[in-house]
Amino acid sequence: MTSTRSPFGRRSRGAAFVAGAAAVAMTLSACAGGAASGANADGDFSGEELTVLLISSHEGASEWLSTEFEKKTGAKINPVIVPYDEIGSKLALDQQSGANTIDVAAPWYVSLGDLAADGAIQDLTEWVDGDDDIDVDDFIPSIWEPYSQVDGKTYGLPFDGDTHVLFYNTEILARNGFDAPPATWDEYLEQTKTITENESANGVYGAAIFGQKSPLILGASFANRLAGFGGEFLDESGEPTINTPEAVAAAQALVDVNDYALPTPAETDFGAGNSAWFAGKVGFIENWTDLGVRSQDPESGSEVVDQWGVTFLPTGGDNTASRASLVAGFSWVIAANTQKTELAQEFIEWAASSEVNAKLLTELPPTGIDPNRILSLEDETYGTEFPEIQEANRATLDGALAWPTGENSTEAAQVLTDELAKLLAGEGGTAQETLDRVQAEWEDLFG
Amino acid sequence: MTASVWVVLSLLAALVPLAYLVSVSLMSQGQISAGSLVPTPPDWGNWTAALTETGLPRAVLNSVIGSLGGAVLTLVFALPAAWAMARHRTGGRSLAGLVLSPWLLPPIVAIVPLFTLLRVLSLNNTLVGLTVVYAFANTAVAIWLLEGFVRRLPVELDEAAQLDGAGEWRVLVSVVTPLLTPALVAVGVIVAVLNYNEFLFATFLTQGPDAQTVPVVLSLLLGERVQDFGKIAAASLIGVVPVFAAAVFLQRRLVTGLTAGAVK
Amino acid sequence: MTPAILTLVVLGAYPLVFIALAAVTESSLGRPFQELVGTATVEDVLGDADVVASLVRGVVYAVLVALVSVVLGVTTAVALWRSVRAGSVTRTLLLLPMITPPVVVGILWKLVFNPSGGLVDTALRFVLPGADPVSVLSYPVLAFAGIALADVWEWTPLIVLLVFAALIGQDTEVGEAAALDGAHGFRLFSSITLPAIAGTIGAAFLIRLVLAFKVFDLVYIMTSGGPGQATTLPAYVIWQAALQQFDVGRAAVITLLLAAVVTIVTLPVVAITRRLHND
Repeated sequence: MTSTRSPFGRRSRGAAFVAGAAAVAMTLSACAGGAASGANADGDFSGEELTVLLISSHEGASEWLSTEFEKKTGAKINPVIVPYDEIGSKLALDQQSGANTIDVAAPWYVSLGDLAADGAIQDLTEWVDGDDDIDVDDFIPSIWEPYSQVDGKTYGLPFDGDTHVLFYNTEILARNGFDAPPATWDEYLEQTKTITENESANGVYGAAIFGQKSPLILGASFANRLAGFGGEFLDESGEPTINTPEAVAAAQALVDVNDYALPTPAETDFGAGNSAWFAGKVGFIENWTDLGVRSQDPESGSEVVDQWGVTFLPTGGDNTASRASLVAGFSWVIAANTQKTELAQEFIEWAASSEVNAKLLTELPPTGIDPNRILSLEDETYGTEFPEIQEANRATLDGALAWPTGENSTEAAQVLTDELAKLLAGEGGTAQETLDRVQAEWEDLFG
Repeated sequence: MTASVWVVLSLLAALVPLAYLVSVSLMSQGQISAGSLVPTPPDWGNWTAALTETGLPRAVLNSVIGSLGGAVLTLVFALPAAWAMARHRTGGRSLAGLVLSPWLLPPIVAIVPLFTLLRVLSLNNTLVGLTVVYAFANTAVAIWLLEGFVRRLPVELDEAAQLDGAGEWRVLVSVVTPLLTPALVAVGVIVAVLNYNEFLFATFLTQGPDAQTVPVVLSLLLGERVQDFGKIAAASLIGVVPVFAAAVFLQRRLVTGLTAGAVK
Repeated sequence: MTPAILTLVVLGAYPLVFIALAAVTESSLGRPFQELVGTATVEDVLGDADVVASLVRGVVYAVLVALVSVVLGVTTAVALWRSVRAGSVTRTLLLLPMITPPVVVGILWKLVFNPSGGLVDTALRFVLPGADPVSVLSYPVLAFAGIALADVWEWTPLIVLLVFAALIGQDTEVGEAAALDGAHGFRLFSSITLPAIAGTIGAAFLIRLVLAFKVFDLVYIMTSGGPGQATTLPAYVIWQAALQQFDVGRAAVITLLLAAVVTIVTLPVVAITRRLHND
């Protein structure tokens, strides 16, 4: 099986990125003033329809996008909403079967490589390189690269930034004698433990840990710690480095907090964890930055208005610089067989623009969209309404930990998640043994 | 005496979880996490929300249409086959068993070829397409169940009809079908319930409110970023109303239909 | 009439042929049948301890669930049959779990097992005030039992129905004659009634076994296969391979392996059922 998989060169993150950016910049200047692909100069697509595949968390955003895009171009958006764990397979099936009902989709960025290998999405390199309105340089570099590039080609445009930061309930911390949020994962464990020991009888716990066995959920909790301890999924040359001391420490940190978390991590998915946070039942939750927008909105059931703070993810081990962790995150892609490439390009260029991103950040009811551009991150309204979240999101400017995105990445993420779930359930031996097994499987998958 | 006690116990076992679902559907999020068992006072907000915010009424309609349409088509496919097998000894029980064998496997991998099949028929993402898939998916079970009924018909009946010069199809339509009406209704009800409850095909073969069925809409509620257990419970209850109603009105039919397959 | 049957065989065989072809080729969700790999995928899957463990787990689960369902179902059917007062309303109410959509069954039991304020948690705290929250679905053995319980709840009514129908359908004269000869109570039941319905019980066990091997929705809704691998049953592994990892070849191989396992487990049951029917 493994022998038949075509080996693919992993990009090396740092150096290749600089080179890539330079290349893009050069192409941009070369094409400056050249005809962009939006051949329809007046941008009028009245009477046309575009089918857009989105996960259920983006339903709110899709409503806003549909209304505004129709106002702007006259084209009708037909959103198709699916559960978050089905979007990639649904798109691949749609294209493979020849049904071709989907024109545009916003899948998890980790599936880009597999979708490209399956021929389900278009290579956008030429278009993106030739259209300077897209303003690639304005995308936050640490987001742009993983959310768009596979093997040096562009397959997507960033949609939902989705980095995790640490939210804390100020009242719960104060009640337990903590006047500052933790800076390291050790301090985090200490505070979590104290809160749970003091208040679990009243149904209040130190932390909600996303522990349900899904790459987007348990995988995210691990990635947050991996970022904090300074680990990487892959090294510069694309070789797996998932059993390094940093990675083992990250897995161990997850094991350590497991006993003190909201019961019970194995069942905690986005819904359960977020519900506990809004009900004021947990001291900490690692979450997307948009959680803050909703925390301030009593209309959507928040009982923690003005009782929360947000900070960078803690660090651990020798690492002292906080790093953002690109855990979820979704990219706009164009379906391989769509007949409406031009309209699709028009739509994703608009939907990935800084104006739209900025609007979605502060829209009420909350849309769940996080910043992916420098201009929108530094947007004035966002800064005035949510200064703390804005500050926390700036972490992405200094580089971030991203999942692999090449072919077999979705399988790799699943392998890691399954092994971590075994570790937490006490079935996998030690953290080192667990990650050694993952390393071996990853070497096969990425070999 | 012991028999009655056991019946009461099994009634409790069957109904307490359902009653708890009703209870949760009338609670606020706070009441649920506080561990209340009885909502005081009952909060009907979840029901309003489930009816107005989720597209559920349309999904119930889709489910009813898809499951009934699928059941009728299944019977149209299955009756001739069951009759031929029983009457002409075409393969006998072992062929019926062979036809049934795909039913023994989880249908997950079959999604890929079915998807392609629907594309050939230009029925992707339509309720009609899902209905067709359901019709095929349960034909084997229907044949298996119907074959038992067909074998119980007196052979003389259709032999007499054929002596009168009636063709095979005419015998089937004008003699066999009327005699089998109760069995057809019974098997139809079972198949319709199976269709109504199906999740995996529905979630992959439909998209958008025009074709999505009840289980799909419920799974979307579970995927929301903030889970509202009360609303999910209310939506679940609204979703089961049609099948529960069918059970109440057609209990007798259901019993005959289900027993026919195994008790022969 | 023959064309009708032929069509059905072809339609039934179409997915089977697809699975067989996918099993011996490199097949992704988007691009099936890329190149022939022979038995490479089979070897790969058989070498995967998690897949093998899930098949073993599937067998344990199916046999356990089927046994419990049949014992409870037969007892309930006999009780219904003996109980004078149980009318058709009782029978209808007992059927409800069986016709509840599995997705709803999953939601229902997830709520019952909810560690903060679910039915089990609340009931246990009522008995033991001040106890820690009880979380059924977060301990491997309990989660496995929890899914099994939901499954038993859902499908035991089917056994009740089948066995009850057999009981009212049996030849009453034989029983009356035996009663005149002085057979009563348990002896009457075990020597006359039980043999008369044994074939049905066997068939019911068979159906129940197959339903338990196919369980997917409950796992998907309640545990996602966790904690650890505790509830990762075969159908869930196939779903993960095909629709999460896009590896249709692997999914097809696991499907075929499961088919083999189901056949091996059910063959003795089929043989016994046949003999019971013939007796």
